[in-house]
Amino acid sequence: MNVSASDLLVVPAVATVASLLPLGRAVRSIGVASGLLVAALSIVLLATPAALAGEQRLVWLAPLGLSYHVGVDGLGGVLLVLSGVLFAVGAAASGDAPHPRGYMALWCALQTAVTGIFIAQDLLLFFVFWEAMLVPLSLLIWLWGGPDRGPATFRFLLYTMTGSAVFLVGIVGLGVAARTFDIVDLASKPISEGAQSLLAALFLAAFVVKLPLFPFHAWLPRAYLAAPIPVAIVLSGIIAKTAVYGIVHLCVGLFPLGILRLAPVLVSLAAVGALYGALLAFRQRDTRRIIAFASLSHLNLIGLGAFSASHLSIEGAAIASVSHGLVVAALFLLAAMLALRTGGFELDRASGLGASAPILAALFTLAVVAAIGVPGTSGFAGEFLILSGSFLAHPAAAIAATATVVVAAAYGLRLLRLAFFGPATTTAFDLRLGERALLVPLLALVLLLGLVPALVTDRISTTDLTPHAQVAR
Amino acid sequence: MTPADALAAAPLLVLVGGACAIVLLDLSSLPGPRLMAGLGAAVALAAGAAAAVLGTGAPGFGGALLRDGGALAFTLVIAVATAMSLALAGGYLAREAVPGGEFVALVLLSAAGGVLMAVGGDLVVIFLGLELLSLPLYVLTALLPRAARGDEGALKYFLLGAATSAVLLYGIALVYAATGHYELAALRGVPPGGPLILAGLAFIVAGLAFKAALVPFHAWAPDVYESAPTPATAFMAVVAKAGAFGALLRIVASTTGSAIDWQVSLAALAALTLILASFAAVGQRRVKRLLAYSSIAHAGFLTMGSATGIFAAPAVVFYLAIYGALTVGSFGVIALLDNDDPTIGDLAGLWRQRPVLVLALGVFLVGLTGLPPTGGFLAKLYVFEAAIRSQLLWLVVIGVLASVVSAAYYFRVLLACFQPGDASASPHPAPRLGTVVVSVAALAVLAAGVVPGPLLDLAQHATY
Amino acid sequence: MTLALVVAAPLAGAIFLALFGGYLGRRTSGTIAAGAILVSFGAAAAMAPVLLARGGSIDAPIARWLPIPGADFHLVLDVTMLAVVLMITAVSALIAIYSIGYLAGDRGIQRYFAALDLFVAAMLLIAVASNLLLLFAGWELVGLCSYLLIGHWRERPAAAAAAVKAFVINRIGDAAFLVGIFLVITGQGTVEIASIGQLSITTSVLILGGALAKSAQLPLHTWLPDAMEGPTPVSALIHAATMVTAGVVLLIRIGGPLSDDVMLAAAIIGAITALGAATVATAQTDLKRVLAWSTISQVGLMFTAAGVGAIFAALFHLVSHALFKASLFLGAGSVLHATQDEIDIRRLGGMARRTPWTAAGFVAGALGLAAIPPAAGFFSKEAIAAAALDRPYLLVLILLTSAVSAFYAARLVTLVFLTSPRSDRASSAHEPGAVMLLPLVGLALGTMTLGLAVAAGAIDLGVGALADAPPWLGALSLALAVAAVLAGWLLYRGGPRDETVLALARSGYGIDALYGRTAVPLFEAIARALELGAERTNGMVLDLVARTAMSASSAARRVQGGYLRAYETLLLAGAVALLAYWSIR
Repeated sequence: MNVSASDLLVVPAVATVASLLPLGRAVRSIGVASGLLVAALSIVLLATPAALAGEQRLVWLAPLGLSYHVGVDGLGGVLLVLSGVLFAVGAAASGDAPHPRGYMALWCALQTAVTGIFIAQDLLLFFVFWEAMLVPLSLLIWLWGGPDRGPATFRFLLYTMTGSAVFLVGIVGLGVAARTFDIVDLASKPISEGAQSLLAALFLAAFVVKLPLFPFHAWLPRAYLAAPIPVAIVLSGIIAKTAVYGIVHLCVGLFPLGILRLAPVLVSLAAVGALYGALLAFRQRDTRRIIAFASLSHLNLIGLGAFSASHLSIEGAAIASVSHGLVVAALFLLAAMLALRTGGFELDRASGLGASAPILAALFTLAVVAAIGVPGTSGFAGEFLILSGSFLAHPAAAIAATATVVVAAAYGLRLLRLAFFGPATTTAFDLRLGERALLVPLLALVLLLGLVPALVTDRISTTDLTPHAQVAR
Repeated sequence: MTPADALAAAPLLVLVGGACAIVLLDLSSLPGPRLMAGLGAAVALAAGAAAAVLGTGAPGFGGALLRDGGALAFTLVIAVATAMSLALAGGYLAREAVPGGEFVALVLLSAAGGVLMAVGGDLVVIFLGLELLSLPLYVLTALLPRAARGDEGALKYFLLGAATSAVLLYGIALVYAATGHYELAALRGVPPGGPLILAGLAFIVAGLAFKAALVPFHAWAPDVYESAPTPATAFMAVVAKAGAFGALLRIVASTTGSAIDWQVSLAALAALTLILASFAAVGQRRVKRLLAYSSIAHAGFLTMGSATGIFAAPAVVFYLAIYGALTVGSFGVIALLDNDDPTIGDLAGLWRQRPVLVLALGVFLVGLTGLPPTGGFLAKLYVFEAAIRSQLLWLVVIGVLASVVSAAYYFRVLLACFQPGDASASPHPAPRLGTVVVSVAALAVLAAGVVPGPLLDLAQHATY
Repeated sequence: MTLALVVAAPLAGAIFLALFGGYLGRRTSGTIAAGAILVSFGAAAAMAPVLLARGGSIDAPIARWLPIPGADFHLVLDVTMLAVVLMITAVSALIAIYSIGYLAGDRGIQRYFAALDLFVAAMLLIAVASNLLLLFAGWELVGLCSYLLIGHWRERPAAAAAAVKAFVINRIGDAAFLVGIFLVITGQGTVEIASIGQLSITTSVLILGGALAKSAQLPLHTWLPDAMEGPTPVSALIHAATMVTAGVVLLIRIGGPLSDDVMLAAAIIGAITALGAATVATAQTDLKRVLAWSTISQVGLMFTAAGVGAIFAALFHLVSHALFKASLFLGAGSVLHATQDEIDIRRLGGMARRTPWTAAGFVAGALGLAAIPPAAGFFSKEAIAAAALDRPYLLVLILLTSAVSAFYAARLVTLVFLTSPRSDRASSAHEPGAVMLLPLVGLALGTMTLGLAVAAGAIDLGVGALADAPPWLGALSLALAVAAVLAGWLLYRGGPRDETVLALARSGYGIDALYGRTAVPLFEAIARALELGAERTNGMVLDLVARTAMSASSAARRVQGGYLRAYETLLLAGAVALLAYWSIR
C-alpha cells in the first residue's frame, strides 16, 4: 500500500471537518480514530527503507519561494506515531468537555498542525505549521481551561510568538540568501561557521521557548495548570517534542557547526534546567504542578541530548521524547483520576488511598517508576543514552544531569507517599475499566520500549544527521 | 475623446456615472438605503469588471491616464473593496438613519478619486484624484446624524486634509519648477537633485503619507475612523490607502535610477509606523480605534514593501488585496452590530448571539495578526522576503516583533466575544446580506491562505 | 537456555502474580512464588556439574538491548557466581515459603509475592549479567523492589518513610555508579565485563560508591536500620541473602579491573564499618535492629575480604552469612509472630521454653554470627582473617569485630531466649506453624553443615580451597569468640542492664541524625530558595515585559491629544524631516 506523507495530513484535516457533524458526545471517537490512523500510517511509513518516506514535492507558491515538500524521516516518523497515540488518548479522555463539537474540531485542527510539522521538508512550510499550532491550542486552553486560563494563555501565546518571530527572521534571511527554502537542498549548501552560529541562534529562539529550555520556561507552570487535562497531555507530550524535532532536524541538521559552537551554553542551561525542574517538583503540593516541573526536568534532559548532538545522545533524545510523552500522558490521566476521587488536585486532601484503590496505586507507581528512569522502562533507556552520549563532549553537564536521578526519586516517591501511604483518611473506588483501558496501553508501550529500544533507535539512522552534521561521535 | 481615452477612463466613468445616477435616483426617494447600497455595490463591481475585461493597454489622454499592470491591479482592489463596503452598508444605513443616496454617491465618487490616483500618469491628475478621494470622505465622516463627534472628526480631517493638499500642491509646483513637466514619465532620468526637486518630492510624499496614515502623518486617523459611520470607515481604511500607495508606487517607479534614495526614507517611515501604531493599539478599549491603529500598522507593512523598490510591487499589491479583505471584513462585522462604537467589553456574549460573525471576525483577526492558515500570513511573508532581498533585515525584525505585539490586541478582541454576558444582545436579527458578505470575505481570506495561486498570479501583473 | 531460565522463571512468576495474583489465594500465590524460585534453583543446579567439571563459564546471549557496545540481554555464569546463584535461590525460596505463614491475613499478599519474585530475578541478574548495563538494570530493580517491600505495610508512615529513604540513598550510589559506567564506556569502549581492562581510580571510586550504597557501608548505610519497618521476611531477604550482598557480588565480579588502591580503600572502609556497626549492634534494644546493624558489620567484613583480593573468603562469607543471618531473621520473625510483635528485647525473654524450635534455629544462626564451630560462620570468618594476615591493622579490626559480634550475639540470645519473660506477650508466646518453622530449620541445618563441608573440601565453592590458615589464628579466633560469648551471657543472664553508657553507640554515633540535620534540610532549603527566588523572578520578568508594553502603549497614545495644531505640527515636521534627510544624502 502506497502511503504518502500527505495522507498523514489529510486524515486529521478531514477529521476537523467531520467533527462539526452533529454527533453529540460521540464526536470524540473521531478524534480517537484520527489519532490512531495517523499512528498506523506512520508505522507503515517507518517501515519503508527510504530515508525520506512518502516523499512528495510540488512547487506551490513560486513568487514566495514556498514549495510543498513533505516526507517522513526516522525521527519524524517516530514522533508521528507518538503524536497519533497521544491525540487518540487525549480525545478519549475528553469525554466531559462542554461543546464537544467545537472542542473536537479544534483538537483535530491542532493535530493537523502538529502532523504538518513532522513531515515538512521546506522551511516555510515548517513555519506555517509551527504558527498554525497556536490558534487551536490557545483557544482550547482559553475556552475550556481552568481558572487563570486567560493570563496563562496570553503569556504562553506572546512568549511563543516572540520566539517564532525571531525564527521567521532567520528562515527568511536564510531562504533569500540561499535562494531556496527547501531543507533537503539547504543541507547540501555550504554555510560559513559564523553564519551557522547566527542562524542556529535565530532558529533556536522558537525552540528554546517551546521546549522550554531553562530559563525560558516562565509560561509552563501556568499553562500546564490552566489547560484541561487532555490538552495538557498533548501540550507536554507532543507539542514540546516539536521543539525537539526542530532542534535536531533543522538546527543540528542544517547548522551543525553553529550548534557545536553554541553547545557549551545550551548544554549547561539544559543541565541546570533538568536539576532545577526536579528540585522544584519536590516542593509542589498539587499533582499537576509536580508533573509540570517534572516535565520541565525531563524536557531539559532531552534538550541536553539534542544539543550534545552526538549520535548516541540524539538516539537517547528520541527515545526519551517518546517515553516522556507516554509517561506524562499516563501521569496526567492518573492525576485526574486521583483528583476525581479526592475532590481536587492538591495532595493534602487525602492520604492512604493505597488500601482502597490498589490498582490505581499500582499503575501510578508504575508510571512514577518510568518517570524516574528505572531500567526496564523506556525512561531509563532514554536517560542513559542521553547521559552517556553527552558525557564525552560535556562531562560536567552530564554529571550534573545525572544527579537529577536522585532528586527525581525524591519527588516521585514523595508523590506516591502523600497519596497512597499512611493511614487511610478516605476510601476511593478503584480504577474502572474505561480508565484502565486508557492507562494500560500507555504503560505497556513504556515497558516495551524499555526492553526493545531498538524499535526507536534503529529508525534514527545516520541519514537523519545530514552529511556534514557528524558533530561528535 | 479617442477610443484609447475611453478605454482608459472606463472604470472611472462607470463609477462617476453610477454616482450621478444614484443621486438622481435619490431625488425620487423611492428606493430605501438598502437598495441604494446594493445598487452602489453593483456599480462598483461593474467598474471592476470593466477594468478586468479591458485589461492593460495604451495610456489615454496623452499619458494622463495609464493602463499598465499596476493601474489595473489597484483599480480591481479598489472596486472590490468599494463593493464590499457598500454591500455591508445597507443595514447600517437603515438603522442609523443615514441618508442612503448621499452616502452611496459619496462613496462611489471617492472610489473614483482613488482609482484616479492609482492610474494617474502625471502629478496634476494625481492631485485631482487625491482631492476627489478626500472631499467626499470629509463629508462622509460627518454623516452620522446622531453623533456630534462626527462633526468634530470631519472638521479635523478637513482642516488637516486641506493643509496637506496645500503641501502636496506646493510640492508639485516645485517639481514643475525643477523639471518643467508634470508627467511622471518625465521624472525618469532626471539628474540627481537640486534642492527644488528634492523638496518637491518630499512634500508630495508627505501628502501621500497623510492619506495613507503613516506615522508621523497619522494623527487624524484614529479620531476620524472612530467617529465616521462604520461602513465609511471600512471603505476609507482600504481605498484611501490603495490610492495613496498606487500613486506612491508609481512615483517610486518613475524615479528609479535617480539618486533619490527611497529605500531608507520609506523604511524609516515604515519602522516608525509599525512601532508606534502597534504599541498604541495595545491599550485601546474602543474597538474602532483599535482597528484604526491596526490599519496604521498595516500601512507600515505596505510601506515596507514599497521601500524595497519597484520589484516588490506584486508583494504590495498582494498585501493590499488581503489587507483589504481583512479590514473591510473586520470593520464590517462591527458595522453589523447594534452598537456603533463598541468597547471591547461590549463584545461580551457575541458568540452566543451571532456565532457566524464571531467566526468570521476570528478569521479576520488571525489574518491581521499574520498567522497561518490565513492569507495574512502569506502577505506578510511576501513583504518580508522582499525586504530581506533588499538588505532591510532590521526592518523585518521590527515588522516581525510588531506582529507579535499585534497578537496581544487582536486576540483580546476575539476572546472578548466568548466572554459570558449579553452586552452585545440585540433585538434585531443579523442583517443577511451583510453576514453573507462577511462570511464570503472570511472564506476568501482562508482560501488565499491555502491556495493563493490565483491571487498571486494577479499580483504578478502589477508591473510598471 | 537453562541459564536464561534462571532469571526468566522468577521474572515470569512476578509478572504472573502481578497480573493475576488478585484472583488467587495466599497459599497459591506463595506457592507459585516459591515454585518459580525453585525452578531457578533447579536450573542452576542442573548446570553445576558441567561448570564444575570443565570450569570456564556458560554463555547465553539472548537479544539486543541498548545501542552501546556490549549492552545486550546477555547472561554468563561461571563457577564463582554459581555458588551465589544457588545461595540466592535456595534462601529466597525458603523465605517465600516462610512468608506464606508470616503474612497470613495480610491484604496485599499478591503484590508482596510479585515483588519478591521480581526481587529475586533482579538479584540473579546482578550475578549473571554479562555486562555492566544489564547488571545495573538488576541493581536498580533490586532497589525498586526493596522500596516496594519495605513499604509493604502502606498504612505505617514509618514504613513509607523508610522505603523512600532506602531508595533515595541507593539512588545516590546509583548516580555515582552511572557516572562510573559512562567512564567505562568512554575509556573501554564496551560495557562487557569480560572485556574490561584496568579502570582508572576515578572510575573505580565511582563504582565503589555504588557498591557502598547498595551494601549499606559507611557513609551510605543509614537506610538499612530503618528498613526494618518492613515485614521480617523482607528483612531476611534484603539484609541477609540478597540486596546488601549485591555490592560484594559486584566487587567480586569486577574486582580485577578495579584499581588496587581503590580496592584497598574498600577493604579499609569495610573493616571500619564492620567494627563500628558491631558496637552499635551491641547497644540496640530493638530485636531487628540488632540484626540490621549486624548485617552492616558482616558485609563490611566481606568488603574487607574482597578488597584484599580474597575472592574465596568473600564468597564463602557471603554464602555463610546468608544462611546464618536468614536463620536469625526468620527466627526473629517467629518470635514476633509468637509474641504479637513484641520487638523490644528488654521485654522479651523465656522464648527458649515457649518456642523451642524457633530457639534452636535462632541459636544456630547466633553460633554462625559468633563464629563458633561447627557453624559455617567460624570457617568463613577464618578465611577472611587469614586473608588479612599481611595487613595487621586490618587483622586487628577483623578480630575485634569478631569479638564484639560474638558478644552481642550472646547478649541477644540471652535476653530473648534464656532469661525469664519480662512481659505478658512474651509469657504467652506460642510456637508458630510448620510453614514457618520448616524453612527456619532448613536454614539452621545449612548453617551447621555448610562450613564443615567446605572446610573438608566436599563442596567446592569454585575459587580455591580454604587457604592454609595458620592454626594459631583459628585458635585465637575461637578463644576470643568463646570469651566474648561467655561475657555476654554472664552480663545479661540476669536481664537487661543499664546501658546509658552505650547511648552514643545506640544512635549509630549520630550519623543518621547528622544527615537529618544537614543534608536533608540543605536539600530542602535549596529547593525552597529556587522556588521562591528564581522561579518567582522568572515569572516576574515575563510580567514585566507585558507591563512595559502597556506603558509603551500609553506613551504612544499620548501623541493623540486631539489637538489639531499638534497634528499639523507633526505633519509639517515630518515633511521637513524627509526633506532634510534627502538634502543631506
